[in-house]
Amino acid sequence: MREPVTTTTRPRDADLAELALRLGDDALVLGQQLCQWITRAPMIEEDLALSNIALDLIGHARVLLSRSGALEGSGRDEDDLAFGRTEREFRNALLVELPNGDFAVTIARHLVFSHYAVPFYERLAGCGDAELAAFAARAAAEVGSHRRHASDWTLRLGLGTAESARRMQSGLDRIWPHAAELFESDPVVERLVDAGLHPRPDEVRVAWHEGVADVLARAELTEPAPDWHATGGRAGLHTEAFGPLVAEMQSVHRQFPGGTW
Amino acid sequence: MTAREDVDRVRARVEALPDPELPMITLGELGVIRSADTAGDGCVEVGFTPTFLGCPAIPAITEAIEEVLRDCGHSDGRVRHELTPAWTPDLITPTGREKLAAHGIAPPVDRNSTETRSRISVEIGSPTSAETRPGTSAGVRDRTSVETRSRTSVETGDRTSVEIGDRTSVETGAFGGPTSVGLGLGTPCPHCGSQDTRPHSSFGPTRCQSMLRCAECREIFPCITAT
Repeated sequence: MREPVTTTTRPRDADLAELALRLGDDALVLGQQLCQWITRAPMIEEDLALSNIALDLIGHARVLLSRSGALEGSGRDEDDLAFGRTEREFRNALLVELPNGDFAVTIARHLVFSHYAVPFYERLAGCGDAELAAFAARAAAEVGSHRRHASDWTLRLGLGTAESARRMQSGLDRIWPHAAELFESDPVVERLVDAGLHPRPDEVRVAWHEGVADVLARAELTEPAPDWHATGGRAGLHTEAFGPLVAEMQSVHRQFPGGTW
Repeated sequence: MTAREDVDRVRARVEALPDPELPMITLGELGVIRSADTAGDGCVEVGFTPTFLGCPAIPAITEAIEEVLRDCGHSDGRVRHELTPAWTPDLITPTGREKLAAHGIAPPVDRNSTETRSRISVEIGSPTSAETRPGTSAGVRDRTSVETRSRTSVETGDRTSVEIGDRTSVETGAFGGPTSVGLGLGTPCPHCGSQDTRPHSSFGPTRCQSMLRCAECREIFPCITAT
């Protein structure tokens, strides 16, 4: 059995560990989802694009989960955190666990995520934790290319045929209620913001909205105005689709614990 | 041998290691080896900056460096991943650029020339502009055509070529201008030297390569990219 988490962690480190865990889980789950497109994308360039984006995200997750484990002082490493937790222990936003759907749903999900991640990481790059800041500076550049990819495809589908525009709009409608969770605040976020260790959620939201609204206008798509929004991921309350996703992701590790190749 | 000479020897051997994904160049030529020093506790530490955070070659490179450390008598030596300052293709050495080009991989347009491209209209005719992109024989006129095409794609990229499955739309990119610069617009073709090249796909066979197409010889070729 695992040793209980030490209680001597400084409060600041505990909050930072939680932040790194949330961001790391977002990246891990989204990366895992995008891998499912390999050999199924509309063209070989997209197989490469989506798998390369997934590679970036899993790279981000490795850095973030390692950092989270180090900060919480429990001795858990990236693998313990990725493969050794149960569904309820994951802290990702619900957006990233939404099923891939058709290509337009995946693009809509990535449009929303990448337009959030770029301004978030750009601001985190100026935060008071040197390691997280160094990571965020590099990650901002990488998710910038993801944002370009998602924006290009949104335009192409929105301005393409009647069917592609219909699907893109439908993808946006499906995804949009899950955007607001990315900008939620709670006591952890508030303490981190006060300590200069977290971007202001409102500021990120404004930057996000400027970006997505511009793309949607140019793509002649309608910004959805949902009358509800999803929440719960940061507290470990996940959607129906998440259990099977985690089970698949952890299956090899569970079958061969500690296996090396 | 002094401690400094010893550390320099480690660094020289680490820099001579081939990159696992681009084996035609060494880690030194790729510009990912940042430092080799004796740390506070007396252990030799090699600073290594990954090209991309998720680069799958990171473990192989780390192990190869550790092997060099052991081989040089530093079994307690360490590899430190330095994320800042981030790697950029500007760090590829001139020799590295030549070797990549010889293997059909376009070396990156270096950042200095990318930054000057936005001012090209001002620079046309000035003798300094021909020097802004070292390593090519491009004349001022070529540069002008690059800038013109970049503007064209801003104006027409969105609406005129957006049909599904239309390769043109993928190659041109719905975003012109600044984002096309990120895709390596104007990168000379490693096969025929033409600068009439266009983005084909932002993502290539490895994460640090994007794909371009040459309008002259029609070859599709990879180009080293920072994002």
